Amino acid sequence: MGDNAILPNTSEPPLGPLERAPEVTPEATFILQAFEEHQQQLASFAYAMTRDRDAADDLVQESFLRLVKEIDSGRVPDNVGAWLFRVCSNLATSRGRRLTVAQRFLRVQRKGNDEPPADIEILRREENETLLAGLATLPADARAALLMAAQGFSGREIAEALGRTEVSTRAMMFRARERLRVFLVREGVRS
Amino acid sequence: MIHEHESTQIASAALDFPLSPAAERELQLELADCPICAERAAAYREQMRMLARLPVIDVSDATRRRITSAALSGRSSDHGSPMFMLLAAALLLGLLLGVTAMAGSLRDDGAQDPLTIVEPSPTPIGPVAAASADGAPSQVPRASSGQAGTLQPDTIAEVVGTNLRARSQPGVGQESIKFEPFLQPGDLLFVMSGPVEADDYDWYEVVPIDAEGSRGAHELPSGWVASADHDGTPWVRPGAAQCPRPPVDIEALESMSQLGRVVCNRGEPVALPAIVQRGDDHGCVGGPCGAEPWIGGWVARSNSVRTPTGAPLEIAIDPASSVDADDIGTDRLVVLHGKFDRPNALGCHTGGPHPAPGLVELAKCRGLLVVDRVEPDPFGLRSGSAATVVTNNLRVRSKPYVGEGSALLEPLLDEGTPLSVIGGPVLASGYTWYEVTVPSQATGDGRFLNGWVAAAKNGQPWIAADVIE
Repeated sequence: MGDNAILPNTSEPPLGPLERAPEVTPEATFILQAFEEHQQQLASFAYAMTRDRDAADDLVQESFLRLVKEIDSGRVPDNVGAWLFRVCSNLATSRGRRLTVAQRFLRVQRKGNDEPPADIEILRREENETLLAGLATLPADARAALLMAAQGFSGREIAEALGRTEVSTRAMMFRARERLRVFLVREGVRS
Repeated sequence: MIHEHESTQIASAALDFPLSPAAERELQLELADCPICAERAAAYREQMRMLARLPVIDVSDATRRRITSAALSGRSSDHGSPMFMLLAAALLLGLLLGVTAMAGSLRDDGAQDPLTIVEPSPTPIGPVAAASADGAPSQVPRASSGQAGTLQPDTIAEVVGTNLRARSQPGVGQESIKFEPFLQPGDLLFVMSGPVEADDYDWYEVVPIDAEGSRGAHELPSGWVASADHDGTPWVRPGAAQCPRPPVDIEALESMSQLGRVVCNRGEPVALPAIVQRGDDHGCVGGPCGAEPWIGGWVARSNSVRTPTGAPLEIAIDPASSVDADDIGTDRLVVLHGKFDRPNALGCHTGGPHPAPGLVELAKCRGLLVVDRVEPDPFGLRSGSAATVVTNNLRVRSKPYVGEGSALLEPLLDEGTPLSVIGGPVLASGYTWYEVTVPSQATGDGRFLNGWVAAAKNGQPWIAADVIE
């Protein structure tokens, strides 16, 4: 996993004779700490937003690279987790990302051709798939809000991340929960 | 249907926002008095649990390396701010103590069964050229400041200002007729064109579209709306299209508005198994659809037992193609290849004396699926056909779809099981379904097992017509 790369002056992985261990600046420490704290949350969030693992990986990478740039410009987000979710959410819903994901979906489908056909296989994954399908029917803001809420973000943090007022966030989340509930009931998933 | 009691809204809000003790007590009392509200509150909590249980994934090693490299090659310590120096002291200590354990836990998580990651549900018939992303909305990134953001033609916008007026022309002069009723927050619009600056406002030409939870588009006026107040307060902002996940299927398209189909499938080739029927001539027959008129007059259907909520999906033939009316036929399953929102749509109307199309006509033309190739029925099954199961563990269901209300019947059918087709096809849940009886499986009351089976998945047939030699 290369986790040791974040340690200062480490000898692992081995450096070549002409290389020097990179200096770990306070900024780098901050970013790497944020990465370890949030990468799993963010990757899971990005996956639920896009339902494509490669796209999710790209989104997380781009989000953290933007954090690097932000820090490099001397701006430090007050709430780095919420900031990352906001950036990732915006990236996930951007048009460019949409097209990329569409292409990737085609590849994913082609890969799926090798799987044994049977209705049992459908049932096995039905619940998670239905939940993700239900999320996909929601506007991106609403989807991001529900996922952030499930990750433990407060309503205020969600509103801040999405650039909305708390009142409109509350109303949006209620509508989204209700729509998701109806979808899940219709699809036979108890919720 | 949204339950109207305010306590359901408060129950939802309580999951995200702290309630005062008094409000919490009041909520509990109201939930005790309203069983439906209590049920909904429980459902919202269960949703949160389900979402929290979605598979956890790690980023790839490549991403980890790239971020680490970017962080380390970023700003040098010479430029570190005092705040960072303080922060770093604490963080470095934590990192040094915690990194080993953290790395171990990450490795454990990374070893999760990759099969727990869900993949999109496939379609039973051949490769289907998909349109939008993951079913994800085609949303223009929204300005985080809450400003109007940039509206783009051919995208969805959402009204956020109260009592927004649509007008016949951009501007507030007398020549610009005021339409009624007002547009209200939550109304969704398709942006046809704009911006046009007039009277110090940015104006966009819009057509209301249907969306779940919003008012019916047919009740609302099309026309020009200003996107924001002089101080930048947004009245309209980029919205999200509710696109179904790809690959596109007829059942999903049937539930969409005409312009929703345009947004979700714009410019992308569509391959669509559908049952076509002769309809009224609503194509561009008789109207100027560019250089060559399209040949309209069919409606594509799913025959799904779940009631579609959108506009009928009308199709027309591209005159430049080799498709003719006999290829399409009527009341039969075919695979339609074509596109929505063909460029010619901008010059087309659906009949009538108008020299130029109105916005509603234009929306209708853009929402036509213009077909340039037709594949015949891939299954060749109809009522009375004899067929055979060509896979193992084929499930028979009580209804032709996957989901609640479609019971799972027993037993699963083995390869080689003979079937008699008595109904179908029905296109639902991304599959083509046929109603069958299974002569080799008698039920307890002496009848044959009877139900619906999906005919294929990813182009691999699950049942096949018997060939009479």
